[in-house]
Amino acid sequence: MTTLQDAAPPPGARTTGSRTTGSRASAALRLAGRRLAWALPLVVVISLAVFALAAVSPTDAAASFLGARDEFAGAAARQGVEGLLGDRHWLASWWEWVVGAPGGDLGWSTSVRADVGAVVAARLPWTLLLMVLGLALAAVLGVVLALVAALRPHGVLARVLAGGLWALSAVPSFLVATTLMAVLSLGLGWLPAGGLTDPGAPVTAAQVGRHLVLPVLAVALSQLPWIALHLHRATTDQLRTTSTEAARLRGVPERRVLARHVLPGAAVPTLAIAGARLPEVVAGSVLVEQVFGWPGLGQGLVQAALAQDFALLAAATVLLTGVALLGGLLADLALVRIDPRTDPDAL
Amino acid sequence: MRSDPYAPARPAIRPRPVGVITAARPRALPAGRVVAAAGLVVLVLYALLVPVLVPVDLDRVDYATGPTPPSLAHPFGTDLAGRDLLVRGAHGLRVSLVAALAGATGAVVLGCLVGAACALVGGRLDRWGMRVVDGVNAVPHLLLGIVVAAALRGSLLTIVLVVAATHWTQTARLVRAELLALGTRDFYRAAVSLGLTRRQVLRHHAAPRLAAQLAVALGLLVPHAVWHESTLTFLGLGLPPHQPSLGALLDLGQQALLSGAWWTLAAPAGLLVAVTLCLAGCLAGRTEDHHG
Repeated sequence: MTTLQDAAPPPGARTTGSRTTGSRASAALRLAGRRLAWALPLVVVISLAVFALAAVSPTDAAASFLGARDEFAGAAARQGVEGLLGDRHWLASWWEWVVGAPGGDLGWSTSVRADVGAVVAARLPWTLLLMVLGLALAAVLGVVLALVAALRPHGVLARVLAGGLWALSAVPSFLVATTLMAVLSLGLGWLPAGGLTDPGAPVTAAQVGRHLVLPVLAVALSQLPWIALHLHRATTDQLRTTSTEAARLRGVPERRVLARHVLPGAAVPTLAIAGARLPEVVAGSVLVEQVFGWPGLGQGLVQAALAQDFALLAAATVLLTGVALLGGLLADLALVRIDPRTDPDAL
Repeated sequence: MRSDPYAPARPAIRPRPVGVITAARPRALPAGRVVAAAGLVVLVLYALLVPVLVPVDLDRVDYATGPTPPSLAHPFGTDLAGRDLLVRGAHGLRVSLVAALAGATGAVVLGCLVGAACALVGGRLDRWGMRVVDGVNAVPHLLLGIVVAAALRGSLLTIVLVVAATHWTQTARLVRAELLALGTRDFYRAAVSLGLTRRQVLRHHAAPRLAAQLAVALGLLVPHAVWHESTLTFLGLGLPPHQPSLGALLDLGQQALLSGAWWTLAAPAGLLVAVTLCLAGCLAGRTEDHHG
């Protein structure tokens, strides 16, 4: 089956002609602008929803603020707390939040007892570090596994991989994380079970690196199935195209065929769905952070939800959604960069 | 869960036999589907029958027994409070499956309504409806679930609401696309020119076609809804701890890990993965992209 598309040189094997580069760059800029213009109302709606939900919540904000001390708080103390928490309409609180947000004033976190802006600033880098490293590891593993399976489609490894990845895709990421912790940390004692550093130890690269291994592995393993399965499918297709065949016949070394002709083309469909999968990656990292006590934004989100801390909850939800949207945009921009056939205006 | 739209129609690992009729598409492992269906039946029977056959007071604890590894008396072992995990697992599976089925049904019904309204009314409603679908899809579902569960406090109803509120979008897209595609079909035009009313066309032509697709959509949503229930409960935001759902058992299991009682985690984890795999296996080959 030879179609026009098969006969065309694979994306990435040639450089984009300079005459189209300028217009593609501006089209990519337009894409970014369009996404940002769409993200803004979305963020507004999400934050509105959080504040509205906080207003209809049947729980007593003052009681959750006081926690165990609620029983012993006198009427005056309770009134003070209620005054602190504010008994205003939720729209008014939301408006104050929106007005303060650009200046970094996101309100006061009642669970951490700190400024939400400071909490977020301290936690977001750890989340980004975890997600980027986890996805990078998953991508590397995925490329290797997909290539091995595609090059030896009848090998034992390919069969084991297909079944194993399928089974792994059925395991929720918090289960992957707990299993890793049970085996590698509690069972074998190779790695610390959680936290950013050993208790009381200073935050050094060596400390964080040791504590980072298991969370990164958990994020990578829970994202590996879809990456590897898509890449495997695309690599198999790409190996069969006439352009790959032609490159081999021209005497291009096999390594170069794989790196320049097969992989860029195979990455295209995977990148195309990466944008849609990023919300899942964010959700997965929230769970991994919670299991390992990793001090990221996801763990802060769960703590805020448990403590009914809606200021932190709103900020964390909006920011994590923003991370997912931004990641999707980056995936699409990478797609535009790799594959000259994609039209940035249609994305 | 099989979540691979680019999956080959047949496993790429086996060469196509020469000389055999190759025109007919080889189906995706019918034997695998039988195994998955059988496994699902066993799991449902287990969830239904064990609580009936072994009536145990779920709140009764037995610290004299404490955690014991799997044995003949307790095939799944007992948890830190000496409660039999075989029985608790069955109760948990029950609760989780009920929550998941209700949530998935709610999502499909809501998606059906929105999709049908978008396709039938069209115009501005359609544009805005699809924009809302895009918006809901762009937000990580778990975050929405956490926010809703934080505000409304965990209960069975909250879980059902969360699953329905975040997962109707796929069904809405499906129904809308199917109805719009129907408008271009010849038999639809024939029915209209024969003078059938819109209601008759919908009932005789659209409904039967949609029903099969919706059944698959529901089947795909159930394992995902099980995942949502167990995840939210695991985080402490879902069902209350005294209701032994799979998530609650997993939460207790994780806490018990530190004392070396690995089976308290293994039993509910195995059940969760088995349910997901069996449900996905039954639907293998009919799956569309559905995040897991």
